[in-house]
Amino acid sequence: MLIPETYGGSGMGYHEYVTLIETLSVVDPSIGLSVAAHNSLCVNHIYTFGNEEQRLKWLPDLCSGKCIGAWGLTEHNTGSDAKNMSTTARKEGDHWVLNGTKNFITHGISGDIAVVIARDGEKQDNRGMTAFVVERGTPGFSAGKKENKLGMRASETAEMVFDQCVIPDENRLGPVGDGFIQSMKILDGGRISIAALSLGTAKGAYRAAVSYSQERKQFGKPISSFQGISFKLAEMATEIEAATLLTQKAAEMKNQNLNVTQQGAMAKLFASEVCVKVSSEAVQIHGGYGFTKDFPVEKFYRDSKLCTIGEGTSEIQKLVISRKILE
Amino acid sequence: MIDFELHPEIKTSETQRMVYEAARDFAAQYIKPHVMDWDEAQFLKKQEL
Repeated sequence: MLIPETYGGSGMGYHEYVTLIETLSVVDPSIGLSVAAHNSLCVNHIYTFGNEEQRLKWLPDLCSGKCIGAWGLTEHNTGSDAKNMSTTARKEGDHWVLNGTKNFITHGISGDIAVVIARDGEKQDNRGMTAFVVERGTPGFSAGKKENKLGMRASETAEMVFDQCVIPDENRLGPVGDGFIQSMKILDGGRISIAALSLGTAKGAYRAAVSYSQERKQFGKPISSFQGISFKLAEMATEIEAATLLTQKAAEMKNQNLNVTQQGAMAKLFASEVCVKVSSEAVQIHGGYGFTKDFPVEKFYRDSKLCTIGEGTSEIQKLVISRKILE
Repeated sequence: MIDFELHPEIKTSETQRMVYEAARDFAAQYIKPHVMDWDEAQFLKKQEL
């Protein structure tokens, strides 16, 4: 989506990208999440930090959809604390040997091409990690447990296991020791994806609530005519607008190649919290029907919770923002 | 995204509108009918993605 046409992409900007993720998520947030992880993490990492040869080798199939991408940073014991990761990369001659397990990876089983960050230096060292591309079918690379989740259930989340997995040095993305720093840059943009995902989920729930409240009659009137309901809708709509503006600003800054660490974190934090609140209110407006699977708000409510967790929890976003403003 | 349905009067780039219409139509045709099945089964065929 964001990749130039030379590599088989559509060469679009972040506004179009946000529009895509959001529009898909209005119908099914799981699909929005899968498309976001593929584009903004895996594909974007190869495009941003790969050399010309690597871009030409992997991007065309990833852009056409022939191959699905995965991206592995998180492990069982290291979520936000990625500098302490246990997966190691050992250089042996002209190849690398990977060992360890990545956890909570979108497309961990189905992904054809994975970008993996592994440690080749000491724990806690920013410069002790390197990024690699690992193709499905490489001996020593297998899929582990698939998570059974509360929401975003159509988007696969699983382990990726590396056991004496040998990969050529040509699969290394950028210089040795740059993996962690690259990842932080990828996540800066990735937060815009989650903000877009949050907006779509919130809008899907909001629209369902608006139409239900106009159809549902109690005491002889549509429930939307009661202020208890209409004021909820007013708050939901206002918060969605505010989250939209934050996300658009981050997207515009990204298009202009400005640093979006702070703006992306703000957009992600606010939009995801709005998403959870709006989805919850949408269920409330539906009353008992909102608690059943016959109405879409039940699913939006479950899916929404991923948004305040994935690609950095709300608490981590606050850490990122506070560090920036106190710099 | 600008909410095209709520604010059709807001001007955006032609490509953004095209992306919106394509994604909306794709989602309505290929995703919407299966949303609850995929959620229940926790599975989505690779081809469909």
